[in-house]
Amino acid sequence: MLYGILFSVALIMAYTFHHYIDDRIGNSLMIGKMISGFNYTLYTDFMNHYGVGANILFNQNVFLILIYLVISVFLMGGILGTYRHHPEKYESELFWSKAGSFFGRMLRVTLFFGFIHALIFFIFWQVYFMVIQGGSPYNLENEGIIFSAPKFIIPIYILVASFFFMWHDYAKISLIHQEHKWVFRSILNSLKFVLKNIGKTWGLYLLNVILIGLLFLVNYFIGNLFEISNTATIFLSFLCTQIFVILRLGFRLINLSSANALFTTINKVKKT
Amino acid sequence: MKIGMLVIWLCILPFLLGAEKKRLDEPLSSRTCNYVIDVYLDTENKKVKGKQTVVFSNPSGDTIRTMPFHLYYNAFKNNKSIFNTGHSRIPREIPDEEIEQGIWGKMQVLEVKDAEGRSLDFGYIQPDTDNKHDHTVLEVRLEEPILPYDSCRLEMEWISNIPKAKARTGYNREFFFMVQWYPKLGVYEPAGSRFAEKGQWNCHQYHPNTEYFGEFGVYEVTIDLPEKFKTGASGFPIKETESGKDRKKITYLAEDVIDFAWTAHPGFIEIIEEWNGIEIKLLIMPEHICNKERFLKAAKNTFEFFEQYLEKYPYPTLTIVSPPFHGLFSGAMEYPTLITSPTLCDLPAGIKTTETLTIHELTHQYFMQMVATNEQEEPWMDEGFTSFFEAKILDKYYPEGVVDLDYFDIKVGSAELRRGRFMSTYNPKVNPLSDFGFNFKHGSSGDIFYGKAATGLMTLEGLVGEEVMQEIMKTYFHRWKFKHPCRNDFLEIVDEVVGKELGQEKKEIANDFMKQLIYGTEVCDYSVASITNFLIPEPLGYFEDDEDCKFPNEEQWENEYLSKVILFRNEGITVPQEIRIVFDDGSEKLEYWDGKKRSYEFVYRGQHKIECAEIDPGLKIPLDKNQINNSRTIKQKNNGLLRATVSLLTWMESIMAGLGTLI
Ligand SMILES: [Zn+2]
Repeated sequence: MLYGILFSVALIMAYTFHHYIDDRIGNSLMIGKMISGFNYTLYTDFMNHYGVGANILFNQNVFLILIYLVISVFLMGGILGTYRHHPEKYESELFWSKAGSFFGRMLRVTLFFGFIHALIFFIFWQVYFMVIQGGSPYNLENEGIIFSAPKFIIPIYILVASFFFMWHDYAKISLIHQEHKWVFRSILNSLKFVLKNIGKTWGLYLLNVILIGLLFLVNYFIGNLFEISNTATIFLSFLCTQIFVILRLGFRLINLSSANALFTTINKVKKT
Repeated sequence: MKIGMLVIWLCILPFLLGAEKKRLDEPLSSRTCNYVIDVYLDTENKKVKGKQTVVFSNPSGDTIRTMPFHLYYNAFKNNKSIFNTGHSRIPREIPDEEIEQGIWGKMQVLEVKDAEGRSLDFGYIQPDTDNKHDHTVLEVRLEEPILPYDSCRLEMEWISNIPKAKARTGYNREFFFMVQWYPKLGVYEPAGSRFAEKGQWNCHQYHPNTEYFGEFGVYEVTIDLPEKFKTGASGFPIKETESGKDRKKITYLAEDVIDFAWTAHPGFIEIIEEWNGIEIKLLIMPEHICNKERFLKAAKNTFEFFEQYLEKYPYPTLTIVSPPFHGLFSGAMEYPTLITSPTLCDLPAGIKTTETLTIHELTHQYFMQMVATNEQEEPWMDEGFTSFFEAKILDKYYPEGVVDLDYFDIKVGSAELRRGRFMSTYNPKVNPLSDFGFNFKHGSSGDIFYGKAATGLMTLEGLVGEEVMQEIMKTYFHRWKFKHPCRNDFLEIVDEVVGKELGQEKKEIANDFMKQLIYGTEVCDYSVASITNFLIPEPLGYFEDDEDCKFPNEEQWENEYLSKVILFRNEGITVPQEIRIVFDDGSEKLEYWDGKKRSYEFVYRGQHKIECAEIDPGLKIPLDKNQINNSRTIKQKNNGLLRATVSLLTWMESIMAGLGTLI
């Protein structure tokens, strides 16, 4: 379903774009240049003469993406609720009631972590900026550091950021499980939980991150396998990317469910 | 002779013989203004002390009483110079710490003597503005005037503070890039040359928006600097000796050039290769050595191209300076037989900036160094010509494009990149190419000098054909090498060659187009406005015979169409157009329109409908600003749009799935 919504929103965006181009330049022979990918002359001439509309569409897309994100927040309550109660088979009533009752709290958790993720990114960016001294030829002897620093900073960032993303996930799980009214209780509880079981939780999370990384690599290689030249290959590549998107969403859900399982088992062990 | 002396002689002999071989057999130019310069580089205090002998030959029948010199360093002397206050496309902020510590680049002429040893009077003048704070032109008043076709010798002494990493020149850390660094005499234009109505000096102040202009001559420059520095300069070294403790003196000779540039850094690696008798010297930092081959290959490709297209590069040497990161202030620039071209090893291989810059700056050896146009008054005549050839060379030798990013399916050629940049400029109509460069005060100057001029020359080539274009360029080069032409001289050659090769009508077309390009500010856009196919009905009812009524399907009647294509000229530039018209049976017609009226139509009567029409199918008019509306089809058969939509769809999905992890 998440895929369905994602696909529909993307389809709306792509369709309006399609419609706009078709309306403006649809009967130009230049359209043929699009088949081989990006064409610079077509792009500049289009943006220079029909770009105003494209910019409006772009802004509208930003808005649509925001709507998609809000819907995802809403669904998250349902997904995690279903995981927690793991009924024999999927119950739509349970899903929607959880989605509805946790929406406000999920949104607050999202905003809180959104702020945290931005902060972490900002800190790392600042560190990089300081290390490269603004990247200015006035301060640096040579450009080496500008390119070598990311080789250290990005892996550290992934490690650190993945901790916060993980905490974010457990905060949501703990919110659903313990049904706190006050979201900061869940956020704090989950932090305690994560820290106590850092080996297991972080290990599992990093494993998931690596799997997603592998998925990207596979997608890259498949994408390079064939040249797009006609309708058949367009659909073939479309299918490949759709499978890739579904897999990505699937991985995300597996990630959450594995975290949920870990959370449940560890808490059970504690209780007994 | 002492043994020691003999050993030294034996050591420097091959060097001297090598240098001797590089001297030109006969002068290439008039050698109107010759310099012998001795310069002491104080790397501690970032100062230069110089002495120069200038010998100037009066090229005219005029009597000359003053001599103006460019003191370019004085552009950095205060914050009120026109360099620091005028409009420019290059950034010129002065760092606060330099202001607080009083670090300003400047040049002070201490003394000027004539051949008789008399001290001459001199002072700053402002030929272009009334800005008295601008000290970039110094006028020397002669005691004894220079008589017609006579010559004059001056001895000058000066001292300067090397600017810290300013536009194109100065020092940073241990990198010294010494350009516009000595008092350089203006160009004397006799009546009738370029725009001169009567004999005059051409010596503009240093405007931030434009470059330079210089007279041909021979430079013999001796540089005294610390031993550890590696040097490069215009021309080639002819002598190297010790000079006190840990210092050396190295003498360079550059013949038939309009300027002299040099550089020094202890960290340079020197790579020397020969191509067809030309010595290519690459000065490069160890961290950039990975791109060594890219530089050398680009230089050789350019040499090969011009040898076939115009004429062999006549100088014995070319020095390519790839500045260190801390020396990026030197930019990518052209000086006689010395060019700079920055590089980065960490850029993806598909981004061809190293090649583009090398080819561009090397092309300037032909257009600005040999054909020495005035870069201040007519910047398009060096930048536009150079960009025109840059695109030709890159698209020939690097067909994969100058931006070639496989993963994103992006491939951009040099010519289309140049065109696109001009088409996207803020205001393409802001000034005509005929305005002096420093009068471009409201932006878009670079896109017009480079882009409009280059795209215009490509369009001229489209109009007259590649062969005639080469003939134009060849004639222009042969007639004006080692001289100072202006646009009129080029236009005259366009008329002459096109008239001779293609006849009067084409000559008028080319002339008309070039005038619109240079003196006009209009842009070019043609479009296919509509295609209609009207089915001619069979005759029904009464015609000549009042007794005979015609009914449907009574007689054999074959369907016929009245088909029409309407074309519009949407902008000011008029240029003749070819139009390809395709009918539904696959047959084609190639039509011609002089492009003058605001609209035009082609009408056909026949059994086949028009399926599509295309203006300029051979892409001969790259100046047309919108190529999308150049064609129109009744039904779109191509699924390019589907492809674009699908890839947009998947990109959007990716973005959303990515952002989804934040939830
Ligand atoms: Zn240039």
